[in-house]
Amino acid sequence: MECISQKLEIEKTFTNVRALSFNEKKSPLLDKERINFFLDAILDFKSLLKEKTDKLNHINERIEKLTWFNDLDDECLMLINDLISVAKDLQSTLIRQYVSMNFLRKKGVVKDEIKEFKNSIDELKEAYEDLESVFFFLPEFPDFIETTKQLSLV
Amino acid sequence: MKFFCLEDFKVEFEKLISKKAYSTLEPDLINYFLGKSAQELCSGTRLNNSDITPYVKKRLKGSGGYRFYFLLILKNESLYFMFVHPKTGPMGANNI
Repeated sequence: MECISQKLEIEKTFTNVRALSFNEKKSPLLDKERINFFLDAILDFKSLLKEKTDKLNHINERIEKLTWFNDLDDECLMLINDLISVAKDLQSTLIRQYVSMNFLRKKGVVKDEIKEFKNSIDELKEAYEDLESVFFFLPEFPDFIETTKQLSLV
Repeated sequence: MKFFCLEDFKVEFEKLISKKAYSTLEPDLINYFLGKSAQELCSGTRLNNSDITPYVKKRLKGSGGYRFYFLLILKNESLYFMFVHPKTGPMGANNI
C-alpha cells in the first residue's frame, strides 16, 4: 500500500517537473522579446531624460541672457523676482525627481544621462541665484558699487 | 583681442593646473577664449550692468566645470581675467 502511494508521489512530482521544464523551454524568463522590451524601456527613459536636460539647458541660457538687460523698471524687476521664485520651485521639483532615480544610478543604469540631468539642475540653481545677485544683491553692495563706478571710468 | 590677468587669477590658475584633477583647465581656457571677438565673449552672466565694461561670469563645461570671472573693455578689445575657480574636485567651490 505504502509502495503505491510513494509511486504516485514520484509520478506527480515527475509530472510537475516535466510540465515546468517544457514550459520554461517554451517561454524562458529572458526571451528575446522581453529583453528587447526592457531595452526599449531604458532607451525611452534615456531620451526622456535627454529631452528634459536640453529643455533645462535652454532655460538656463535664457536666464543668463537676462543679466545683459539694462535699466529695468520696477515692473520688470518684479517679473524677475517672480521668475526667480518659479525657478526655485522648478529646481526643487527636479531635485525630487533626481532623488527618485537613485536606485537606477546606484545600479549604473543610464548613469551618464542622470549625471547630465543633475548638472543642468545645478546650473538652474546657479542661474537663478546669479540673477538674484545681479538685480537685487550686488546693486546694494557698497564695495561692488564703488568698483563698478571706477570701472566705468576706464 | 588682447588678454591680461590679475595677480589673483595667475596665482589661482597656476595652483589649479598643477593638480591632475584640473588638467583640462588650460585647454578649456584656450578653446573658449582664443580666436573670439569681444562681442562673441559677451556671453555668460553679466554682473555689473555695464555695456562698455561688462564684468562677466562664464561657466565652462557645465556645473562640474570651471567658473571664469573676467572684465571686458570693449573699446580696447581687451579682456582681463579676474578670477577662476573649479566647481568640483579638491579645490572646488560653489561660488566666490
